[in-house]
Amino acid sequence: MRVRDRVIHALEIGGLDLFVPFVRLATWDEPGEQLRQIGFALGVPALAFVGFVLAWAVVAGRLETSIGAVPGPTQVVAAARSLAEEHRAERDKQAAFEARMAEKKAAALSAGKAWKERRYSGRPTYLDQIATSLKTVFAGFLIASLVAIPLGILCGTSATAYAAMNPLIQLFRPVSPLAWLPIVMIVVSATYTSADPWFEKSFVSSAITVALCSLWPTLVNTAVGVAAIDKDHLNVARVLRLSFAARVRKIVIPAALPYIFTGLRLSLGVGWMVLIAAEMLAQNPGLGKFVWDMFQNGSSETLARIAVAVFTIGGIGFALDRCMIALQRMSSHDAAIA
Amino acid sequence: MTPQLPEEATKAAPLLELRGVAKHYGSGAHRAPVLEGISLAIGEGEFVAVVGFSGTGKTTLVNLLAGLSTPDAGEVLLRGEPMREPGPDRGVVFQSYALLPWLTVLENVRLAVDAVAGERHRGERELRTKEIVALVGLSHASDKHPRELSGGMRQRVALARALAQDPQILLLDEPLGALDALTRANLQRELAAIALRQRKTVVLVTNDIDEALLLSDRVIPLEPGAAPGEPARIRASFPVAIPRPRDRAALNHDIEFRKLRNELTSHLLALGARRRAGRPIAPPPLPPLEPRVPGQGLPRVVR
Repeated sequence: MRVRDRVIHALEIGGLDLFVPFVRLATWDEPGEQLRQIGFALGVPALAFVGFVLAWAVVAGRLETSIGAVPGPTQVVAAARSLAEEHRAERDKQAAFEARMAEKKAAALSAGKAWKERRYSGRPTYLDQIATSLKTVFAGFLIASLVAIPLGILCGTSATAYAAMNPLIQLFRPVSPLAWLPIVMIVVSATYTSADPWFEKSFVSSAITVALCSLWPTLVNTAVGVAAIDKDHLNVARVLRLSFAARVRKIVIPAALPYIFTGLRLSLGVGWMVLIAAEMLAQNPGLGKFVWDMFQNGSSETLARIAVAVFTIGGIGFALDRCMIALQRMSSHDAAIA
Repeated sequence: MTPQLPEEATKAAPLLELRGVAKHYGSGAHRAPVLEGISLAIGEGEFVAVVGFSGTGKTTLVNLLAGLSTPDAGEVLLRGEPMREPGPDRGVVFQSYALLPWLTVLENVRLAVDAVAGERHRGERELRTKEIVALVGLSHASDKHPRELSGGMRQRVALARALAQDPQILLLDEPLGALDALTRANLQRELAAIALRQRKTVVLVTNDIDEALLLSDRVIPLEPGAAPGEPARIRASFPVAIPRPRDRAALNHDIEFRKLRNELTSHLLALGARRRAGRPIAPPPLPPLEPRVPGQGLPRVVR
């Protein structure tokens, strides 16, 4: 029984409450009730999804566009398959290329000739694009967090800092990524001029744009969380004459952590949404660029492939949100293990 | 019955002193005076109990003594010097306990040990932390979080944290108010023993007359204003001339003690009656109705 309760607790923390009835059913704990819950938690969404797919299939067949009919579910699945196939083919080509190079290198070295390394220069596949997008969003999210959390703590502890920051926050929070991006790109091209850069310029521009748009929820939530700290807890710090650093580390951050994580979760959601637009414009190799390229080349598979990207973007956004919920629940000291 | 004036009560140079202190919250139309003309001198090693009705500014008084807030008039003196800020020499047990919920019992106490003995060796500090936790009888619960503890245990942790900073003065804000009678009696006994053994100067704020008489050298009633909205004052002081530590059962048969308790009770009842009599029949305009959390003083709007 202890094991079962731990599993259930882990599922709840992980935001996978959905599977709790299965665990209970497995231990034959009120099976009727568990079946009812499973039916409700899984059956209803599944029915709704099936209904959506059917409606989509019906509508898709009737809508003609300049580049063919709007793809139905089957075409989209086929497009996903072909994208996976391309990825495999590309990887095979790369492996073959590298094997050939290795052979040549061995031959050249044994013959005592000079050898210059050559890198494979194939197109990025769909999976590469997803990886780039994830890298970019996390880079932007990291920048946003590093800026927003300290600023939020400052705004939460000092009424003056809050009064100073508030108009700026209100002014910049609603600005669309499409407005920031050109400024960011120009500034990045002007300032980021290393001969051997660590990152592509487009990557830096996209990441900074994501950061600019996604730092606000973390900033505001951190400030609210810090301002809401129990006054008695701060009095403890005063009685003990804790230094500013100790106060922040021992009292302010742990107390505000649930709020900070709420902000981070919202920020990551905003960041992921903004990223696609930023990549489209910045031509950063990622999902946004993929969608743009598909739109530009207008083949018969264009719409189906874009639809695959839509589902990918949605699925990844959903997964990121789940991860953040899990972190948020783990950080909540009041409710977590009660 | 001739209650002595507080100034006359202490002959030795006071360790902690309030001189004509006044404190109010809010301003303008919302100005709410809480304390006025408070003078109180506390000698070294003395155990003083301040008894008052709820909502008469007891917590405000503790905050002033701790240096957590500054008076609007008058002065607070510590060893004859004006007090500017709180410090580890004045340990506070907050009414809400103010334990940090994300830390275990040991970590809560360690926070205080590290703050006052940061330059000591790590092992030494660890030893001291465990010692203090053992002193309040919580070694078995060292690794528990506050939410897993009973009210009495939380109270012990709060006391342990205050003791861990090795204060000269202990300020206790209704420390046993939220506990059941049995736990309360136990903790009163332990508190008396610890205060005596460690030679602490203690200011205990309470609404329990028996508790005050059992533990303290001197009981000071915090007298509420004659009508609601008027500030509380201190006018009288009742010395308890029975050597500490005291035995609760024996006290109940002590004629001196019973006389004192009767005096004190009737004094407080008279104050309460005066307050009720002073209340006008038509209720005065009320401040905004906000829930008043014990220990948090006045409503947020007013503050």
